[in-house]
Amino acid sequence: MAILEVQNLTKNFGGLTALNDVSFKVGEGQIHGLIGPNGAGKSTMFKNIAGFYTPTRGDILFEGKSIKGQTPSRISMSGIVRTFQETTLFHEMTVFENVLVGTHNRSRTNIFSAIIGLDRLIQQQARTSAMKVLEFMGLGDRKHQLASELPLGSQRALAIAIALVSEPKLMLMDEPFAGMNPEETRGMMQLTRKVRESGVTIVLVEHDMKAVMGLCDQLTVLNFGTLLAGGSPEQVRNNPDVINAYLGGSHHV
Amino acid sequence: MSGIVIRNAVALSILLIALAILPHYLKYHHQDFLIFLVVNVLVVVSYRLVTLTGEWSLIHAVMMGVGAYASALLSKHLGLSFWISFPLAGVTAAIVAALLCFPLFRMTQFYFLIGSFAAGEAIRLSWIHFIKPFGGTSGISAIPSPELLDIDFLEPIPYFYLVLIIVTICLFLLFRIEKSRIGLTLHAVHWKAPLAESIGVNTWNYRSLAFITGSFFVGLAGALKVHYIGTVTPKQFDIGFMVFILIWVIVGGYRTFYGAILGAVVLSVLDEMFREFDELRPAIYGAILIFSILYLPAGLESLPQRLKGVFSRKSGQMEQT
Repeated sequence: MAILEVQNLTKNFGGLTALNDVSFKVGEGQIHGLIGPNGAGKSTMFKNIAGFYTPTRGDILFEGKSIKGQTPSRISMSGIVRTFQETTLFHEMTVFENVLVGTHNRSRTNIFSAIIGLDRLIQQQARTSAMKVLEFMGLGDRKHQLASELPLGSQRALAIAIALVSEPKLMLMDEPFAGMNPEETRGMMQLTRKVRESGVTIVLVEHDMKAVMGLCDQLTVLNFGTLLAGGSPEQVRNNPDVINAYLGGSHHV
Repeated sequence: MSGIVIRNAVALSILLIALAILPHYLKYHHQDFLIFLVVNVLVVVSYRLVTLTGEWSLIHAVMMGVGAYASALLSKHLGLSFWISFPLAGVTAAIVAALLCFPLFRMTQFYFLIGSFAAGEAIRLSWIHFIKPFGGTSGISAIPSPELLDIDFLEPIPYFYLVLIIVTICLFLLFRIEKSRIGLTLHAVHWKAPLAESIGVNTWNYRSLAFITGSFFVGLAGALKVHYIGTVTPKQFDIGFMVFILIWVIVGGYRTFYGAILGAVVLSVLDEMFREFDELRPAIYGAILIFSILYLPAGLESLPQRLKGVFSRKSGQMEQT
């Protein structure tokens, strides 16, 4: 059963075609990797799915329903949440407040109940689930620190915690391993698996081939905005087109 | 935790009592000054709510005018009592703000700044050009003052108490909003709008909410001001006054709730103290501004922290010697 289905997606920026007629499916409960050389259109694909861009042609189905052209906040309400390429956090807030903001979809309130305090119960629930997610991601003892004071690995974990606390069905992770040392990468891989085990489907864009091959169930390879190959890591690794275009001719990884 | 709450409550009550006694020991024109000061505190704190989302508008002074004109017209021409025209002043400002959200929040940063200034000038110039209801440059005069029992609200002291009570309630409400879930989300919209969007925050809605709510409260402030003076003119809400609002917030500091209040109070009191220097007054004001920005870039609100830092360093040195 495919939770996400991209159908013949094309995205033009003026005369430039960033994505050309790309289709792929993501199975529920999987970790799906989106790979390709720089400029292949991976990030563009992400932004289309998350609603930051509107596709020029084609369609995006989430749980069988089209989400094309919806705003990011609407898409997030239907259960897709993204993390960002750099460590995009609310740096000026504490770790706990960061995650608390992530509970927005369940705990938003109107100004009158906020003043009178009618929303006390939902806010209490929001704090509880924020704390639970922090413990889950191993950040429980850092909750009073400012987000900007965390080391890189913890910042990435926090970014995932913010996404996770919104109870998504599908999480889009944009280069979660970028700039990490091998140890941090291992920790991050464990966290990613843990998130999947909690019932979240994951699509990730990544350059770190070792991590991708070790982590993903399925891969989609893009090159110059077109679909180059798809399948299990084993199939992709042995696909001559992929070896040629992406892994660099005769050089094997 | 509760210890801090009690301490703050005690400090706040002492402050309120001191403020309640204060006007009895002041000269007549200082009593006027005190009334305007308390009104201006509401102006800066409501402006703070607008700036929480990171967008600094230049229309806040005009929004104050919208409330002032609304209350003046309603009470003078429709004969409504102050107690009805006053809340309607806030509602009118909020409605005007809601309509302006559609063009204004398609812009951000500098464009928003310029856009909000242009929208504000459009409104302000309408007051000058549509003489029929608004009275042109001379505005509207003989605005009736509030009526309640036998209290004479033309006298500064009763009016001061009225202003003090209303402003205290408004500040309490604004404080509640900022410390609530909504305040947290507004901060989030400010610091990283795309991240906030990605977890379901409709940033447009929240920017509008802050702008409309802030305008509501400044509309109330406008009504409070002109029902005391008795006259409303376009000049009172021009860009010059807007610049003062900006200066109060920047010099006071915009990171905490009380920063803006501190800025408005300290700068206004200093300005009042230098009244006798007359022609030197603007120069002194400017010098104070430049010095405070140079030496206290984080605002007056950072002063306690810095003093604490200086003292602990000194005591540290003494221990060493």
